Amino acid sequence: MMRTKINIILVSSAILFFLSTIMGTQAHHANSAYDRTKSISVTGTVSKWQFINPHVGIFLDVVNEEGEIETWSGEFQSVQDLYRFFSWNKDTFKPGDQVTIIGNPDRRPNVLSMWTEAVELMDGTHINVRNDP
Amino acid sequence: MAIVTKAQPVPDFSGVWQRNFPGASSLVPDPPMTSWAQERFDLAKPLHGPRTASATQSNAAEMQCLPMGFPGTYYRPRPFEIIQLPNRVVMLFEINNFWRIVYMDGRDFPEVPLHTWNGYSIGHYEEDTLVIETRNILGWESENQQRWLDRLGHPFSDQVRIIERIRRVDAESIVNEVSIHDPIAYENVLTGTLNFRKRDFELAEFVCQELMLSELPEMRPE
Repeated sequence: MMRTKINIILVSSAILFFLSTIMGTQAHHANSAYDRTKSISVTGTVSKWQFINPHVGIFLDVVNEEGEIETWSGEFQSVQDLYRFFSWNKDTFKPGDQVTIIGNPDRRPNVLSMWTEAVELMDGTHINVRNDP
Repeated sequence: MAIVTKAQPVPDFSGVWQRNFPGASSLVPDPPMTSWAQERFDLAKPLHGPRTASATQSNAAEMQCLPMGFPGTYYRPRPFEIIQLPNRVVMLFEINNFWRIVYMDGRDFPEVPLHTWNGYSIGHYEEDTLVIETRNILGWESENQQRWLDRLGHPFSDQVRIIERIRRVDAESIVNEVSIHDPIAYENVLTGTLNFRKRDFELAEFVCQELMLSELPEMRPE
């Protein structure tokens, strides 16, 4: 399997934090779970797409720098938001799909999860899922 | 108090509406509380505001997919639809797929109250305004049965009375002037306004209990 690079981008800007706080994401639950001062990007293979409420989840098999497979998850807003504004549904992602997810990491260092801000498909399509049209 | 008769035009609030108050988590973020309320407020682990707890540690009703009552429900970002019938106003809330009926037939509150999560609502029109009074809402019960006015953890008692005055601002928006009367919990009547914008989509099924199926780490207790 091709070694997948994990990019960790630390966005230390207080401005970003401020913006993400006041603009909100209308999250069902706390912003506190995720560190809004950081943004990370993870590329991997979809193992599960849980298109359910109150928040949708994507699960990726990601090869870390040691060559081991780790399971990452990306949390999204609700089913209705993704359907209404992006026409996503239960079939949008399938096991085996290669995708990149970008977002704010879980505050717990041992939890490989993020509050997803954007998804990049292998054809280069970039979808900002926090952009409520 | 003027009650609109059939001869008078009924203001039109029909349609799908969604909150338009970014970041709002409370009508009154820092209300003067009685000792009864303060004691209970201290036990709250809300998901928003300065005392934000992790979703896995919070005791907010919403994390159990339980109703948030009124005006708590309005803080959820999900849309709702208003359907106006001659003798009632029906409000369909996408969040948790629940409905609310506001009786417009001139009745009074039941002699024997049945306290429920969202209470009992009666209403009438005053010119361009829909006035709703809600009573018999199940009040704060215990540390693990939290019932709040907002998303910050402010409790209310079984005695709470909520008055809503809904009117149109323009074709695309309505405003709800809310007052909360709960002398057991608050020293004053709490008042504030909530704004909603018209949406051009339809409601969809929202089964919150799917939460139990989620494998996301932030959806599961630690």
